[in-house]
Order: sequence, then structure tokens, then C-alpha cells
Amino acid sequence: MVRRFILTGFIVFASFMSYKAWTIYQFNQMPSQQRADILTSIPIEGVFSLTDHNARSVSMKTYFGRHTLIFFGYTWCPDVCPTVLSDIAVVMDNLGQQSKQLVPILITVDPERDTVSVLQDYVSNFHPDIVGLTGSLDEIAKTAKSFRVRYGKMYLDPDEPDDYSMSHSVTLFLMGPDGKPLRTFRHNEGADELTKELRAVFDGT
Amino acid sequence: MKKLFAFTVACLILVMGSTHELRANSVTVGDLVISNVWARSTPTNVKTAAVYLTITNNGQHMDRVSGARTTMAGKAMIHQSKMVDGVMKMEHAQHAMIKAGGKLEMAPGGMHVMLMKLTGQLREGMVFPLILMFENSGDVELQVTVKKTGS
Repeated sequence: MVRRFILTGFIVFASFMSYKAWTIYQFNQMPSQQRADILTSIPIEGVFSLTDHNARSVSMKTYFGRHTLIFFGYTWCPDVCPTVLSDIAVVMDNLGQQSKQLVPILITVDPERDTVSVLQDYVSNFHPDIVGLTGSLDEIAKTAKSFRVRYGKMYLDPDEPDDYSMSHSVTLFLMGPDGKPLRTFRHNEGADELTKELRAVFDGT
Repeated sequence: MKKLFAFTVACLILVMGSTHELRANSVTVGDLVISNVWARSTPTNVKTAAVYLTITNNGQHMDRVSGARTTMAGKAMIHQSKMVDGVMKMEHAQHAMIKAGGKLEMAPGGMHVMLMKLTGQLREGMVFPLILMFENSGDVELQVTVKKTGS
């Protein structure tokens, strides 16, 4: 009796594990972009309690009433982050009056370097309406988790530990005026496409 | 007659102007044409930047960029921004190949010459020299044009 019970238990466990292994295998066989889309399609909570580039304590509530477009990056990022922020700057100009309905937010994944004053200087280089947010290592980790954003330090040269770069998710999150996630955009959507999509959201089409 | 003369002069100016423009924007070394060499201006405290450019290989043999150096930065490396499961990573590329008859575009979001330990801020309108080291074509000096941040 006991043996049969153990055996049944084992079979159930083994089938469950093989099913899991099979789904993981399938997932890994998908093209990278498809995997990324699946990962970003899982609903996020999207909450934060951080410090903005003017040293004010802010949370999602601060921006209630307006849409927010949230992107995670860091100021030492030489390629992707300035490209995305440049696109956002163009989008804000393209949107004209409608840009008042949108707050673009950069949340740093490198709070050790990106202090309030560093962020203040950085975001103002792109557009006066872009908000930069920082916090403690722990606050940033919590925020990233809430957006399902993954990031990590990467050492380019073991002899120069200060020259690290960051790997990070580059999805853009559009949150509604109620702070709830509406949709995501790919980082390489381009300014024109982003403008079009955002206009459609604001016009309610 | 006067009109014809004026027309010819205008044409000449146009033609000369355009070739001058071409020369200013590209460097030819043997079969390689390197064009559109630019970087984005950097915020005050940032010590990293990326240089973008296009290399066209009109020859029968491939060539490779094996490195770069500039007086503007303590270190210059060929980097590739790569997306892995939605996470963007930067990888150091040992070299970048330009196939025979091929074209290599270093553009935002992909391959770039990464500058680290900038010796000064890159400001819009500035031009600074960058040396690309090719395996076959040797060292080539380029002039990098700094564009505004929102480029």
C-alpha cells in the first residue's frame, strides 16, 4: 500500500517535472524577441516610492491625472538610453499640447552613480519635462521588481571595477492617469511611431 | 549670354559644393569608405559616449576593425548592444568585420565605438579625431562630429 502510494506520488511528480521541463524547453527555443514579448506581457504592478531629480519624494500617486511613460536606464549608458531619451524628447515636441498629458520618467538602475544632482543634469539635457528618479539600492530593487524589470552590473574590465556598465530591461511602460499599466513599447519603436501610438491613446481611438 | 554664364557658374558652384560636402563627410582608404561619423553630445558628468559610423567595403577582400583610440577618451572599444530576453547588455566585440563588397553600419542600439573615461564633455558642433585600427588597411584617422543630445 505504502509502496504503491510512493510510486503514484513519484509518477505524478515525474510527469509534472517533465511537463515543466518541456515548457521551459519550448520557451527557450523561441526567438529572443518573442520570449521578451511574453515576459513583458505578464501584468505588472508598477509602483514606486522614490526621489525625483529635484530631490522631492514621489510615488505613482504624484503623477495621477496624467499618463506616465516609464523607462529604466542609467546615465553612464552610452548607446540605448540616450537613444530612447532622445526619441522621447522628439515625441514630447511632436505631441505639442498633448504632451501636457504625459510625464516621461527615467528610473535609474544605477543609484550608486545616479544621485539627485547627476540625474538633474542628465535629464535636463534631453527635455525639460523628463523626470529622473533615484533611490537607495533597496528602493530601486523593489521598484524594478514591481515592473518586472531585470538589471545587473557588468564589469567590462576586471582591473577597473569603477568602469562597470549595467544590463537592464529596456521596455517602455505606459501607465494610465490612474497609475495602472496600460501597455508597453519596445525601446526601438522610434519617435514617429511612438508619437502615433500615444496620440491614439490620448484621443481614445 | 550673361544668363548662360550665370547658369554655368551656378551649376559649377552646386557641383563643387556637393563634392566638397561628400569629402567632408567621408574618408576613403583603399577600398574602404567611412562615412557619417558622429557622436551624441554628453551631459556634464557623464564619462561615456558612443561613436556611430558607416563603413563600406568596395573591395574584393574583407577587413576588420580591431580597435580604436582617441585623445578624447582614456579608452575606446568596439561594443555591441545586445538584447537577451528583453534585457539589454553591452558586449565587447573583439573585432567588427566588413565583408568584401559589404557594409557595416554602427548605429544607435547596435554596434558602436564605446568611449570610456572621456577627457572632456562632448558638446554639439565639436569635432574630434578618432583612430580606427583596421587589420588590413591599418590605422585610419577620422573626424567625429558631435550632434545635439536629442539626435
